[in-house]
Formats: sequence, C-alpha cells, structure tokens
Amino acid sequence: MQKIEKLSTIQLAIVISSTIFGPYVLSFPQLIAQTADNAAPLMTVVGSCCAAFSLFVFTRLSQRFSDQTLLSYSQTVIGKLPALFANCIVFACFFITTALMFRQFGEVLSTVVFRKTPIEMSILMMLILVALSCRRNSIQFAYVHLFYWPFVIFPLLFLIFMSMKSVHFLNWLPVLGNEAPNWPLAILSTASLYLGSFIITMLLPITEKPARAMKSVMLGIAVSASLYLLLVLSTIGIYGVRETLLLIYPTLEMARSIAVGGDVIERMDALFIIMWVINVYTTMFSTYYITSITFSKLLKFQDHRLVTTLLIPFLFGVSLLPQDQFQLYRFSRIADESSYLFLTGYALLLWIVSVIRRKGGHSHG
Amino acid sequence: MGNALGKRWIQILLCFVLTLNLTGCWDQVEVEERALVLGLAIDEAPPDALEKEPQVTHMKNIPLPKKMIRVTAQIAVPGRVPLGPGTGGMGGGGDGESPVWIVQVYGHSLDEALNNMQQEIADPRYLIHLRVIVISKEIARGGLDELNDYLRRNPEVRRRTWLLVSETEAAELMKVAPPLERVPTLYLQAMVEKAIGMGKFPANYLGTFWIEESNWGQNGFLPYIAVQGKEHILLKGMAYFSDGRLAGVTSAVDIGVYMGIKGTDPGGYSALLEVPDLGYTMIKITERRAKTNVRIEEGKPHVYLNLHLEGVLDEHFDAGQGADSEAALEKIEDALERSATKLMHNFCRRTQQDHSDIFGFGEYVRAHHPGFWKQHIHQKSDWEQMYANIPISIKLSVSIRRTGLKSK
Repeated sequence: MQKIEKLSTIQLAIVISSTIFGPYVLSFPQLIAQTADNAAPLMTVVGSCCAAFSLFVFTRLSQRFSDQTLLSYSQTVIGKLPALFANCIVFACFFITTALMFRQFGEVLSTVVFRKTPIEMSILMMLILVALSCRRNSIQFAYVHLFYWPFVIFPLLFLIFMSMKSVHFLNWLPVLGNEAPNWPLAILSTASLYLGSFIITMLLPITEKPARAMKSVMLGIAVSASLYLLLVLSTIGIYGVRETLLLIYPTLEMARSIAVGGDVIERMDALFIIMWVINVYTTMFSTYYITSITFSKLLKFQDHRLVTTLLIPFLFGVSLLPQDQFQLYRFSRIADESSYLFLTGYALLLWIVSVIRRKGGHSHG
Repeated sequence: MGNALGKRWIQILLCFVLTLNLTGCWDQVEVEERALVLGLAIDEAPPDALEKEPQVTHMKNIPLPKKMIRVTAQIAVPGRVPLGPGTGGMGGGGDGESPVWIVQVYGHSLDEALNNMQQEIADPRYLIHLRVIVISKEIARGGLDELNDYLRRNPEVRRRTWLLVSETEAAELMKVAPPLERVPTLYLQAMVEKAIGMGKFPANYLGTFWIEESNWGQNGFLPYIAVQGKEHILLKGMAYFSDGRLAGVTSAVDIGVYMGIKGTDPGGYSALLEVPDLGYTMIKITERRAKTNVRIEEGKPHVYLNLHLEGVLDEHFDAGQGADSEAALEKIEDALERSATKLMHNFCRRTQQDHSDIFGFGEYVRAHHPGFWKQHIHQKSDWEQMYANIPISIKLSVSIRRTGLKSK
C-alpha cells in the first residue's frame, strides 16, 4: 500500500480557521448591529457557539465514518436516492453561496479600489485564480491554507490593536442591548458566517488521527470566533451602534481612520484590502473546493479537476445575476442562512439515523 | 505528439495573455494628471448665484433645493507643491508662484458644485488628499446633512479630515497664506493638529464628529476659527451642534473647560486668576482627570462629575507676598477650584440651554441605565430635550505641584 500523506491535527485546525474567517470580515459588524443593537458582542458569542455546535455535529458524524466523505457515507446511512437528493442540495448551497461571495468581492473592489475597472474583470480574475488553485488534491489544498493563514490573521490583529485606543467602553454597554435583540436572526446571521466549516466532512478522511480531529476543529473555530468577536468589539467600541449602522463596511472604515507612527502612515485601507483579498481567497478556495468535490461525486467522477474548470462559467454567470448591491446582500443573507440551517439539519439527521441504524462508528466495532 | 503540440499552443497563448499584464493597472491615473483638492471652503451663495451657475447636472426649470452654496477649492498644482523643507535654490517650486490654484464654483449641493467645478478644470478631481473643509457659520446653522452624506459616501474622503467652522467668510481661509507653511490648507491642518498635541483642542476629526452626531446621547462639536487681519488664523473656540445644526459657539477658554470636564490629556490651557492676598497668578494645567457618574434620581438623570486638575505655577505678579509656602499654594488651588467650577457650571448651563450635549452624558445614561433610556428616549431629539433640564454636580480638585525656578 502506498504511503499517503495526511493532515496533522494542527494543520486541520488552521484550515478550519482560515476557511471560516472570510469576506464577511468587512460587513459583519454592520450586519450584527442591525439585528442585535448593542448586544452585538453577546450575539456574536452566542452565534459562534451555535456554529461550534454544527461543527461538532459535522465532526462527530464524520468520525463515525472516518475513511469516507459525507457524500459517500450518506448513501449507506439514508439510502441512495434520498442521499443523492440531499447531496444535490449541498452542492446547490455551496454553488450559490460561492457565486454570491465572488460578487461581493467584486462589489467591494469596485466601490473602494478599482473604481473604473469593470466588476466582471475583478470577479473573473479571482474566479480563475481560485479555480486554478482548486485543481489540487486535498493535501496541497491544506498547504495553501497553511501558507496564507498568517497573512490573514496577523494584519487583522494588528489593525484591531492599533484601533483599540479609540474604543469607548460605553459603546459596549448595555450588554443586553438597548433594544431587545432579534435573537433568532442575530444568531443565524452569525452562525452562517461559519458555513465553510462543512469542509471537515471532506477533510476528515485524510487526517492523520481522525479521533483527535475534534480538538483541532474546535481550536480552529475558537481562533476565528475570537477574531470575529474582537472585530465586533473594536468596531462597535469605536463607532457605536448608531454610526456602525450607517457604514456598509465598518471594518474598512476602521482601517481608514487609524494612523500609525505619529500620524505618518495614514489610510491603511489599501493595505487592509490586500489582506482582505487573501482572506477572501482562502475562504472561496474552500467553498469552491467543496462545490467541485460535491459536484464531481454527484457525477461519479474520479477526479474533481475537470469539474472545477467546468464550473467557472456557471459561477461567473450566477455571480452576475443580482441587480444591485441591496439585492446582492439580501440574496446572500438568504443563501447563507438557509444553507447553514440545511447543512446542520442534514448532518444532524445523518448522525441520528446512523446511531439508530448502527451504521459506521468504530466504537461499535 | 498531439500533447506536445497542444503544449506549444498553450505556451504561445500564455505569451500573449501575460503580455497584457504589462500594460498596468486599469485605474491608473498619473499624479500630474490629477487635480488634487487639498482644501474646500463652503459658503452660502449670494442671491444672484443661480444665474452664475452652469447647467451641468440639471436644467433650470426642475425643482431644486432652495439653498445654494459657493465652494472654493484649493487645488495643488503639480510640481509646485514644495516637497520637504528645502527652501534653497534647488527645486522647491518657482518663486512667487503659488503652489495652489483656487477655484470657485456655485452649486445646490457639494457634489453638484464639485461637478460644476469639474466642468471648468481639465484634470479629474480627486479628494484623496483633502485635508481640511471649512464651512461658514451660516452653512453650519443650516445643517450639515447634505454635506455629511456626500462625504460619507465618497470613499476618497478620509475620516481624519478636518471640518472647521469659520466665523468669517470661509473662502478667505483658502487664501490666507501664513509664512510658516507654503500651502495654506496644510497650515490650517497643522494648526489644529498641533493644538491637539499641546492639549489645546480635543482630537475631533470629521469621523469623530460623525460618531458624536450619530450617537443618540451626544452632540457633535467642531473647531471654530476666524481670520484675524491678513494672514492670521485664530482658533476661537468650539462650535457646538444640536439637531444637526449649529447651536452656538464658545470662547477659547471653554475649550479648556470642556477638556477639563472630559478629562482629556494632555492639559494645555493656562488660567489667569486673582487670588486673595496673593495678587495675580497664571496656572498652567498639565494633566486632567475626570470621572463621570450618572445616577437616576427623582426620575431624572443626575450627572456627578469628579474632576481633578494638575497644574504648575507659571507666573505670579502684583503680589503682596510671595507664593513660597504650602499655604500659599493651597490658597491658589482653592481660588482656581472655585473659579474653574464656576466656569464649568456656566459652560454646562449654556450647552443645556442650547440642547447640545457635547459631553455625551446621554451615552452614560444609555449605557448604565438602559431601562430608563428605553422608557424615555425614542429618538435623538428626546435626549436633547431632556438634557436641558438635568442637574449636573461638579466636584473639582486642583493640585499645584511645582512653581518653576524662582523660590519666592
């Protein structure tokens, strides 16, 4: 038997954290301020716990079938036809969310940086870049994440710490919010940030010690969740809820208003956007990867590379569908949140059924 | 065989595609082809402005906002803006030639005026280096909604831009060129920023002003300046807002009072006061500390301020006796406490009369008493109304630590 390289525990943690820390970094504080008012930090914590629960389900389920991906074992658990149907929806979820993410990426670039460049060009460039990277196997996939992870985390941490001095602690109070937060919506919009954590169901078969995967994925989500929390704390702390509501990209505004080194270096937004592009790249890399793996499994292909290329025009087309930015964000919210609900529900169902029918699970011998 | 041929074709194709990358950025505009706006001054337009306005964004017969503004822009002339301090013969711009170009246009809104301006100048305008916006008192009185909207939307505008309210005609500030700095707006900017460094003004950038205006329990304020004589600019005080409009202006002393109440460091203002038996003294405030507490008493928020000022004795004259003992210092401290408390009370009173909570006491109520807040405050103006009638208690202590090199 040939030796196959496998992912270590720490690598898995990094892949998870870099996947779920995504393009919403820019707009998330506004999103959560809308639904949660001053309770935004609290709601971020609760929503993240909710997402951690989903990730827990994904991981436990995958550990029962530690040598297969979800797409294969779902057939043994709930039968061929229902599984095919459900997996089609999994594909649809990731296809649509990925496409909309590409569009959001383009929107940001067109609004802030490349104001004359056609949005199609920015989207297409990113799309091709991600598609080309996706023509790799899972190990190389993990290494790409590994490489870019520091470039995602540290600039953001730097930005947050630089801006901490303008935080007004009053803005964090009251913890429960001046208006009662819209709990379900606030939790859902936070939890759906972590959609990409579904990648664990594809990566578990190639991890070194599947039994210890739980620890690493929880570490991964903890890192990203605390970054999201820090981000919300600093933006809400600096701007206050009322001002945050007025900003489309509060994080970007934060980058725009800090000055470093005795006010010599101002306007960090350009630097921040570069970091954000890497951030977007790693996240879309994952969701694109899930999309193409799912699709190739649905078509019963051995190799996902052909599918990856085939998907480019379709993703491009769908990404151009929303007519304006409000429509885009409405669609994205709906797509993300319903995908999150579906994926969690589906995984829960598979888990429960597999426990009842005693499928998989090495503990059962 | 076929594979090799395919590879060759791909290589040739790549050569072409990659060449395209060499053409550079889609959005590139050379620096010398940009009209970089450094400063803007906004005044109310004279009544005959409607005739002077070119029809760029609208025809004459459509319904338009009644108010018209006059925008004076200071545009950097490429090559003439001195880079660095070099004043010698080398480089640094030609002598006698102004490094900036002043353009004046009329319009119904800032964006419209800038569009009219674009019609008059060749290079595309950029606001990326906009540092200072001066508005006249009249414009501030009319409200800043329209202005803020445009500046917020435009990604070129920095949040660290300065928005200043001018007592005199704002356009004049675009023209005064003090000898300290070649570019007038840069002088203006340096003036305010150095004032912050010396503790003479709080760091209230445009972005900060926006935040204050957005918060329900707070009102914004801006630096208030005036032109003195031909080429002097005076930081006159603060211009505070209520309901989005200019509600009043203060004197420069009140800036110090405000910073004392907020506890903004470093301390920068000096106080001249007459101390009984000791004559006149100048006390320089070096540090300010403040603790704000808000309690709900008798169905009303009650603000308790616990303030502390650290100072040094700067000057002492007309004295019957020397300021050379602890007792003397205590006397001075007492006198300063009394007079400063009075100033603070008066200042708070005045902002209350004008319904302008520039201290943000409302934010304390919102944060610490959410129940009360939810019951009484449903929009920003509710707090502005309530603020007028709340009691404010001030407890001030002053410590004078040093008296300089003179022993008596």
